[in-house]
Amino acid sequence: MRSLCCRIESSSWRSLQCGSATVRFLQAACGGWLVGALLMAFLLMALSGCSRQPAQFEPNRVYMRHQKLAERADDFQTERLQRRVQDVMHVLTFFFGTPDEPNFPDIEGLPLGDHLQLNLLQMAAGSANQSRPGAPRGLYRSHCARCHGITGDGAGPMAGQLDPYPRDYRRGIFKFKRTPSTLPPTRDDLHNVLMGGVSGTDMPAFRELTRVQREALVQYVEYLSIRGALERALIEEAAFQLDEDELLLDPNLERTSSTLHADQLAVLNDIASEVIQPWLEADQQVLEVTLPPDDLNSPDSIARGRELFFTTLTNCATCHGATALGDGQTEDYDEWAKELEPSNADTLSQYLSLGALPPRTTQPRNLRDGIYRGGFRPEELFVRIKHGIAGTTMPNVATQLTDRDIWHLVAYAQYLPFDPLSHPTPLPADDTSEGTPQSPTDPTDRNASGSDADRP
Amino acid sequence: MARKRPNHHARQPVREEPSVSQPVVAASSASSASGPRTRLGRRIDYLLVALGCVAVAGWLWLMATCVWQRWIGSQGLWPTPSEAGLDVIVGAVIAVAAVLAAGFALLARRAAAATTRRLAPRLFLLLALVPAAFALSAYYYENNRLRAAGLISHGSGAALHDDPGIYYVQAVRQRLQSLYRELDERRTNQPDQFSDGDAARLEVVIALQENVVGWTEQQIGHWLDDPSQGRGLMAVVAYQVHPLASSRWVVEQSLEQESRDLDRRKQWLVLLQDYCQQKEAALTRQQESGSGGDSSSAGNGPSSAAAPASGAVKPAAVAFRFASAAEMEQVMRQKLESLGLQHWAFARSVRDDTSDGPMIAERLNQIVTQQDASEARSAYAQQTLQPLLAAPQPIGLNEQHRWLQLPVYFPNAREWAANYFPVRRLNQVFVFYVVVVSLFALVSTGQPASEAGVRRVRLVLWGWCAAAAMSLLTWMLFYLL
Repeated sequence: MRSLCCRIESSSWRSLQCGSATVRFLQAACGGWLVGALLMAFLLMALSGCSRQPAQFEPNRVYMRHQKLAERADDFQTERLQRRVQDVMHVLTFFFGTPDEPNFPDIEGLPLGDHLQLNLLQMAAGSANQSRPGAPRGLYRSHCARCHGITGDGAGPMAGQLDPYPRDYRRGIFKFKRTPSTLPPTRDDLHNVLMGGVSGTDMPAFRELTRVQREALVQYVEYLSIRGALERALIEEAAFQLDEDELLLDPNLERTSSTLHADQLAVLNDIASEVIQPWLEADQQVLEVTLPPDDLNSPDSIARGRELFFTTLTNCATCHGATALGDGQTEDYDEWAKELEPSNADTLSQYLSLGALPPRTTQPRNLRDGIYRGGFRPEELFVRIKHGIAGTTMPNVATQLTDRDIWHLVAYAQYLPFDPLSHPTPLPADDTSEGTPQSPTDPTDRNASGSDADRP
Repeated sequence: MARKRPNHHARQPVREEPSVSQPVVAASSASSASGPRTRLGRRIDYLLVALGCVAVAGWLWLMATCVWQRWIGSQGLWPTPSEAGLDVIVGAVIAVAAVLAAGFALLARRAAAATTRRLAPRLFLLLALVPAAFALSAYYYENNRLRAAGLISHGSGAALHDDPGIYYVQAVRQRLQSLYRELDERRTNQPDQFSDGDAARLEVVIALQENVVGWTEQQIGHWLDDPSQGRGLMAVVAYQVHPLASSRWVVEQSLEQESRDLDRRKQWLVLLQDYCQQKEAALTRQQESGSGGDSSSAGNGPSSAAAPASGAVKPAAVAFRFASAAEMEQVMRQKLESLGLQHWAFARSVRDDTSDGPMIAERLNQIVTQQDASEARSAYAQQTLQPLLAAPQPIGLNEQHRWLQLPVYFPNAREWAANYFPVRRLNQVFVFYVVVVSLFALVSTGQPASEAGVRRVRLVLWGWCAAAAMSLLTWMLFYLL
């Protein structure tokens, strides 16, 4: 041991600067070529992992394939498609900048500058290493990117291991919100998710962040969503409106023909306006929640809710199952997965080779667990039942039922976790009347009826 | 990595009482014989024997605990394939005897290495191998019986249930669904491979889905108000799959009550159907005459504008036989209350409902569907459930159709499975290990003992102790924690 120490001490630290000297040092320290070589290889691998390459947004190749811009994954190697990808990415960079230097388009009549604040986007974007005193950066990459990805495509390094998969922001579809299912969420909705997390998933709560930091993250999520939605719109434009050799924004035209260049920009501004406008109006589209009836959670209210649960007007039992265990329909897919055409194995393999995550079937909520991803408060349940859940097979029943009936359904959903059958062992008769909502059959009525044999 | 050993041959006694370790050392090469090493070797041997005894004692304890747990947990009423029968106890005893005999054979083999007595080790080897072979046969037989009953270790989480509750019924349905998918896919995609046997299986699966699982889930989810009645129905499902004597009384009670309720419910459904049809007729008459305002039938919200649900069975329209909607309400409510229907949540909901059109049609559809299902269930109960209860030794679905392999319920099933399957696997591995060790010792009995041979024997004994310790540790992890 002493000789080893002597050998280490006698080795010059300066020799670390060249490879051969390092190997000699490692040899001296470890006493063997093999160990030295292994350590050297490990050192090289570690150093190569630390190289600084600027982060980049990934193009949405999956949607390009979906819009028939490409037939197979190999097609993206062709010059035609590479040119198309570059064109879309060029427009997006022109409007939204890069992951390190985000920006947003300044379009006339579109007050996006009032909605998004550049300093907050800067705080969320970039790497944490770029932080300066008084100017923190990299919030998104520190807290969100490992699951949601740099691009917000829900395909971060951890995404494959999570169930459910993290949200892909690029479609602009968010499940848990107070706006109609076809509209984007409000900023408060996104704040609520950050504050409370999503129960029953891997999405944690971020209460430890300051309000400003959460606001920065919310705005950055909006930024990524708008950018992703515009990318999809541009891909559709390229697929259906442009000729083979035509570009969305030809950089050469700026020098050769300012008129054509202005025309291209005007078209792009129109497309961007269509994408951005709903985000600016989301706050005005918040759904109204009517007051619950006075007899909410009464046995009759629960019984009425149970009856509605089984009607074809609501179709609740079809997906949630007759016993509400969430196992009625377990072979359907949500909107994100449907885009991958999971029923077609050949097409699906193309999507998977383009980086899409293997689609998973939707799991309707087990209502007897009482764990609701979108919140368990009666108002939250009411909104989800009435307006459905965007991007999923949960439909809206606003046209089928009155608000009063929807409240009865809420009452039944809230009762189910406390139903005696939800528990593995029967509750003692005395306990059922305390601390839990009453059974749909009022115990007092039961006594009044004389005997249990009178009822079916 | 062999170490050099000092030569203390001169200090080693030439002839001594044969002990567990000494003779081996004496007969081994001169370089391996030493006083301290001999003492150390003897201590190691004692330690090995002690550890072996502890392992065997722990093993016996473990088996006794399982037997006790099964006896106490269900008061002696466990499923036939896994009851603590004679085969299990005898299997455990002969397995322990095999392990003990193998240990003694190894020790005797070491003793014999220094002398010329070879009979003892061979006798012990025979004592080890014969019961070990019996033990392995008993395990094989028991495994087959468990598998035939659907009690498979790798699926213990899903196949065994402690409680015949909604999750048990769900598991049965999922198993039936997977069987249905499999058979249906074969029928559709590979019709040439779809045999008559498959067609019969498909019929069985469909019948079970409709009359057993589907009926039960619909009743407990929608139609029954009393949770204890729902539990009774689920107990019936569990009894059908695997009849347990302990459940017989509950099942008898449940079926008796169901039989009474079915007769009564058929009458009640007729009354409710009449009530809904009269409400619908009143509504139609009001719409035709253009008058409104009746509280019981006026549209009040989106449901009035919605189209009737698709796929609904539309009952035949009937004529309105009352003077007015108000009279109809009064008369029908009296009828409902005279039959005690105000205590049925569904009937109460129908009585108090003020919505119109689609909801009434929806209810009529539900009532008609329920009437059909009740008829089918009555027939099924008479043909299948009553004979099952009447049989002195009832045969469950899993035994009747071995391909079904439906999840099974019995008391403390999960707790039992968490102990039983790991323990049995460990026992099997342990006995197998003993057989291998014994064979190894048998092969090397005639060879002169050498230092390497001594090390091999020690290695084997250490391995045995390690396996025993692992067995104990696993038992502690599975049972104590």
